[in-house]
Amino acid sequence: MTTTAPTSRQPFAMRYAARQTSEPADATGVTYDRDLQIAVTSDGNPWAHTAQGETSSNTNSDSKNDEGTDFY
Amino acid sequence: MTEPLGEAVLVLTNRLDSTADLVVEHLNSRCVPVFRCDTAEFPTELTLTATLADRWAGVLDDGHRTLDLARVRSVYFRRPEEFRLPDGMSEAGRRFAAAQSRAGFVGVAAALPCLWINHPARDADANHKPWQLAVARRLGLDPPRSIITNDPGAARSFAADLGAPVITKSLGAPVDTVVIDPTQLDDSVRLCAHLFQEWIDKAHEVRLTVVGDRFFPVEIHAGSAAARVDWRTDYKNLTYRPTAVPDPVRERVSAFMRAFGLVFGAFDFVVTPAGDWRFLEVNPNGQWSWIEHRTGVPVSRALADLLEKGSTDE
Repeated sequence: MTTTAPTSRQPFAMRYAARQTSEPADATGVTYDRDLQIAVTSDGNPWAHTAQGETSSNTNSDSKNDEGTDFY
Repeated sequence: MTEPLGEAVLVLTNRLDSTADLVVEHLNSRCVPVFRCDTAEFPTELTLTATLADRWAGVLDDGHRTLDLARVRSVYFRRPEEFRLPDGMSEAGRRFAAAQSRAGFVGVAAALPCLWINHPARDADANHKPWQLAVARRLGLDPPRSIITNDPGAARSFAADLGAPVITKSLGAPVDTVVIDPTQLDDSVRLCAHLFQEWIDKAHEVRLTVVGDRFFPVEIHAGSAAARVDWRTDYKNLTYRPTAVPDPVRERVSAFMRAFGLVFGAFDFVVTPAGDWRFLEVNPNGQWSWIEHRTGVPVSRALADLLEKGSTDE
């Protein structure tokens, strides 16, 4: 007879796991302009200045808020 | 290969980073050469050749531009992503290639002896919340009383001794800041390290964005119960107002930046009803463009100024 380890235990603070409270910036129609080295909308305007680019509090498509990349 | 750029700013981030776009636009308008790339583009779209001389010399080429590694004036390290490896590799081969790429690509970049905003090693240090809190406490930035433990009894004793509500917040995992009921502290505390702190009454919070010696403090006023505990949980009910930093706080924040070797920092403070500033945390690579959009504080211009100058010296 085999038994399996319980998998339902979770750390105390995990019950407060972060809620998704803001929508990732909408990147529909957005492309990267290799000459300008910025993202632009389908009509050629800088994405960072459009409503799409501004209204997300993430201000980024990665939804990582303040948690920066720990890449080192 | 194209003619290498002269005295370029290297921007390391993903292609859909509208925050970095604001800085690149400033640099473009000033005709400052920019080489923007993402580590995700290595090795499929980026070619690195670096030879050891007095420093690493050579080129980074994306097929469109060429960066002279010996002539990088500054680096803006924002949100680079994981290496995107070619198809057709075994899982073992992918792990090998990722490890080699990290050590080689990131290693050569990290060795560039120029201004970094911020150097990833400095970011990594300052991301440790226990380290932040210890430095903040030493410098008089008055963080909340705090305990880090996996002992439920110690957590309960801490809560009982506080005489104030208790919160738990993230040490690294994505967790909202919440006021907890101490009677619920059970054996699940044992499963990992937890951070518990005293709850501090607040008039409002402040997001203080620091770029070199320039300070951009903005009050954040919460319009809902959820936002009063953690403003990140309810962005729609926030209002913002540029403010001023008390001189003693400015001096201590400057000392904090020096202690960690940071050029950029996004600090969070509680301002109590009595007007005292209490340090909560610093995000060494925190977001800032939404604050600029809402208030007009010129963070992107300040970043471009430093990157163009290539130095924090007066």
